[in-house]
Amino acid sequence: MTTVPPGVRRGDDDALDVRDLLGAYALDAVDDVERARVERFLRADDVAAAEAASYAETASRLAVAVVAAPPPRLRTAVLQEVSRTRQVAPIAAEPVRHAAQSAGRQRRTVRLLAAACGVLLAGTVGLGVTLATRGEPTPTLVAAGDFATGTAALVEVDGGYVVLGQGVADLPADRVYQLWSLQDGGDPVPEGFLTAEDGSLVGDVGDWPAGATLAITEEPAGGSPQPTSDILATVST
Amino acid sequence: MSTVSFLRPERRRSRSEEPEGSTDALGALLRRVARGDEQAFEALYDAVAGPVYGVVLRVLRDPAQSEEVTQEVMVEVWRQAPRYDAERGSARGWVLTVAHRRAVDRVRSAQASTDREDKVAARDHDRAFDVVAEEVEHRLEAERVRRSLDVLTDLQRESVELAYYGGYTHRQVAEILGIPLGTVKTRLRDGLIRLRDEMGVVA
Repeated sequence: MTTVPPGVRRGDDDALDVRDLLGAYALDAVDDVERARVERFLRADDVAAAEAASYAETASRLAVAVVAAPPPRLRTAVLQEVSRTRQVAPIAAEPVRHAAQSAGRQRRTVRLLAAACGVLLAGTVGLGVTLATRGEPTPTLVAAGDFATGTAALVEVDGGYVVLGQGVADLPADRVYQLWSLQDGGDPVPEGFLTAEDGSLVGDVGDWPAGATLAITEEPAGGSPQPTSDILATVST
Repeated sequence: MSTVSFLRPERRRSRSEEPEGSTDALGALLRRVARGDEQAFEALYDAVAGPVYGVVLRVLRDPAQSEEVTQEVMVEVWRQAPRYDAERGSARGWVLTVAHRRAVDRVRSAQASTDREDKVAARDHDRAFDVVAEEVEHRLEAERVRRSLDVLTDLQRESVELAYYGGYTHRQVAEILGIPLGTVKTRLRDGLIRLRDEMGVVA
């Protein structure tokens, strides 16, 4: 027991009903792992997605009850910044979902990763450790690998997969980390790209081909059809 | 148990319906913004800056940080406008969702370093409406939203307010209120269902 870091415990997932989280989700009262889980569920279930949309719309009206007048200088500042800010293209390339999260959101997930890696390094338990977020079993660490300066890991949550990285170098604005799956000598298959913030990566890759190795490279913004840099990290599953 | 709460109560006539056409007008503005129309953006700013700043300030409490986050939100709205999908919700709902999320992100990242004292908000959360609306139109609508909160049970209201205005996760809400996680999740969801029906939000 003493070798298992806090927040990590063995055990089976209690298959918590993801529907129960829809209210908390609409109120932004969930953590990253729960969010990924809810969003995966919503992508597969149109009825639940409509339900969730109605909650989000409802929650947003609560903002109206606390309306407050911002200082006039804010208007000037926003309009100035907008006039020199480029808008995004109408259709997203293929960023990994949830890649654009702020550092604050990532930190929690990264703490999970740190706990997972700690377990691996200590060699106390093998794969299949369940990471618990305050008493509730959620993600299962599938495998971890090393970056030059940090660690990458593939974590399974409810049959979907989340890629996590920590101690990763932040890249300039025109560069991204791209994920690839490698299988049996075949060509690398692009699995989306994401950016690091404060040294951490987190991206929901959805399905992951069984047994495929995850590889991470650095690519120009927008990703590449084939890797154009050395592989920075691999995670063998 | 969970299926029961997904059933919608009989729809009553809403006391808090929005002024006719106001969301459509915002949607039309947002479509112009999506084409790079800065004038449309100014009009959009004027229409949503009050609630955006209001909710950010409510969550963060610090006016200087709230100003900063509001600016980020509004610039993000400009940047992302081409990807706004009207099928997924109203224009105002979209903007306010971005705003709340950003505010909560800021709280949680600040929390990571300072570990803010949970108990403080437990004392504070009954002061949810201490910000005075400046504009009459907003004030009336704010009043309608506050009234619709009256349909919630005290327990639902407490949980919803801690989550939304306090920026707490459901785990933190459970800890603050000293109740089981499952209870909080149910209260949040059932509370939103009641509010939705009271407000006449169309799913």
